[in-house]
Amino acid sequence: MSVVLRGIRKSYPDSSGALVPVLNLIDLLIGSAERIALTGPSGAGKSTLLHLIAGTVLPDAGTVLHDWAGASCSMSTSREAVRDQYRGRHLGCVFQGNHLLAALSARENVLLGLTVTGRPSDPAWATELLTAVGLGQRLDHKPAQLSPGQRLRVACARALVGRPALLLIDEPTASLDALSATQVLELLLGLAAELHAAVVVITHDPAVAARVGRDVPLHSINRCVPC
Amino acid sequence: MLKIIAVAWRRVRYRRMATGLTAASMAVGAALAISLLLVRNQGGALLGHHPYGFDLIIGPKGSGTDLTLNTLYHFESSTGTIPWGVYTQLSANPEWHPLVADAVPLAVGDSVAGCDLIATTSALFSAHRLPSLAPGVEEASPQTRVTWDVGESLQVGRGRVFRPGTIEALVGADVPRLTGLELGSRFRPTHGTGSTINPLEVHQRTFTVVGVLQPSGSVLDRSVFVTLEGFWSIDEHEQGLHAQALLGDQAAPDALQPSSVDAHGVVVLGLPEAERRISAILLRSRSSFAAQLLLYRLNLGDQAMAVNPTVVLARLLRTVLSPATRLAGALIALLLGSATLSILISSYQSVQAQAHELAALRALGASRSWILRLVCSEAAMCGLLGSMLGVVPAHLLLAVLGAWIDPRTGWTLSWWQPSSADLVVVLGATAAAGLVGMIPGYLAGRIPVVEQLC
Repeated sequence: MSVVLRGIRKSYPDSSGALVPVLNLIDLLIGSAERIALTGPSGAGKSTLLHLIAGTVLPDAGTVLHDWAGASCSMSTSREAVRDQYRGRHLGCVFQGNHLLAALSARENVLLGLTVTGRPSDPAWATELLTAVGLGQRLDHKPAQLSPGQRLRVACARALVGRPALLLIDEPTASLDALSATQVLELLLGLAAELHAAVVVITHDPAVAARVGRDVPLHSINRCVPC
Repeated sequence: MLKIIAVAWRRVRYRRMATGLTAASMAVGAALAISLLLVRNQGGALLGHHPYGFDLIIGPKGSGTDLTLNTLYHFESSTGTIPWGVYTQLSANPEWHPLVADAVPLAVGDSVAGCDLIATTSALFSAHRLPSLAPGVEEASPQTRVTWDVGESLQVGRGRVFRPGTIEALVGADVPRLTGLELGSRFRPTHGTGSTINPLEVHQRTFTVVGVLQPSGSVLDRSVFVTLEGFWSIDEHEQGLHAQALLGDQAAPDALQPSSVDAHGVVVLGLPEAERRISAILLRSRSSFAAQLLLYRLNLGDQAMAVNPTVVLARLLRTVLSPATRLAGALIALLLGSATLSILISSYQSVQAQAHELAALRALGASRSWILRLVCSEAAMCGLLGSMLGVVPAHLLLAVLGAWIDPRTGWTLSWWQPSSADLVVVLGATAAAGLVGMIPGYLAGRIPVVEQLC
């Protein structure tokens, strides 16, 4: 049970149209329930790598193969609909900025993680998760009524509601103060451990990387240096 | 369970201002479209039916359309007169009589406080007239079909029908409200109808109201019915008819004996029978063939002409109402089209403004088709909301229009009743909005997730 990235290449065109390599010949193995911190400076391609793992973007070359709990999917070759379905059912994602739906309450935002893939709603589980992240009293609050830290917690609960095998987190503490960042991270890692989910955290903060577990500096697996 | 419809509804409700403005735009379009449809449907229906259940109208030679419209709907002034002898010939002459089931003479030209006065016989109020099957009705298309109500609608509600030959009067259902005339009221007619009324020319003959008709939903509700004898006994009428007869060499040069009214209220006419004239005759034939034969024979003569009102109205509906209907259809399409365009623009702007939310949904595993359905549902909801908001103003608009038309034509528009037009416009607008939502919905599914979330 793992995610295998082999020979991944990804380039983006610059303003003149010339392709600029961002990731080159990346090889990475993420084991079951493993906790990895992908570190590196801004612009190093960390978020791109996260999206490649999530299947929201395709590599120019190489393979991204998921094999979790008997379900497998090639995020580099499968049809988009298959990747969407797989991502919705087996992965949990927390992206920078959280991107909660402003029109929905905290609980509805969490339930959205099930709704979009057609799974049955489980309000009790959503409530339990929100209570676990300290928002049991704010179930019906809209995102605008929550602080940035609380919104991040809702996003974490949303990522976990589908009981994912792999949790992908992009810069979880970027918008928080040090204390809140620590609390949220510990909470997230604890919940992921309870669900036996592997965790990949993107961060440029060495302190965060140290708390997560195995620190994988991107430059150590990327064979090109971005401009 | 939080279904896609619920998510769409929450998002639509959250964007209150944008949704409100878009819905208002749709509401205006829908209101106008529903009004036009209602006017078109009810206008055609009103023009296409009449409480008179007759096959033919006989009147002076000239325009059949004018004769029909004046006789049935009191449009414009009377087209002239025909000799009373035409009626007596039709109702008594063995050559004609076998073809005729009913013949009712009418004389018009006066009014009472703005309501048209119709001189006729009590035969007009006979019960159980059958709807006619006039020849030519089959030629009408479904949109321009002309149907006739049974004559039962011309029933007396209060009081009774006037006695023959008297100066009694029967009034339409709306006349008491419009003129204050009630059972037992007395009135004197004024010369002229519609725009030709001269309020200074009030006749001296006084009539007494003895009955009020039940509502018929037609111009007859605001008409006053008197006997022909009472009508002819009016000084100006008998002098005018006598003078007309003299000019036509049909009258004896003797001085006209003025009419009088005996102790029982019965008119003793001074006007010789040969000098009496009427405006039109409503005729119901015994068969479709008889109607054709009467039509042919009467039009061969030089005293009068006969028209089949069904054919005239069907032709009128085809030549006038059908283009108007097409124009209305084009206007409706234009109005709804522009309203739907506003939904498209609003939906597109919403997708652009909330691209990060849609990208997050994609990252959560929402497929492109899920996003498409979400955006289409939101657009359809705007269409549904706006068009439903347009229903009430549409009916109020019709009420205002009805209030303007009713006093002029006697046509009562049913503004309060839910109509199929409501359903057609609401469903059409919702479907159209949902369809145009496919464009921003398609684009929303292709929002680059990485660009929005990184």
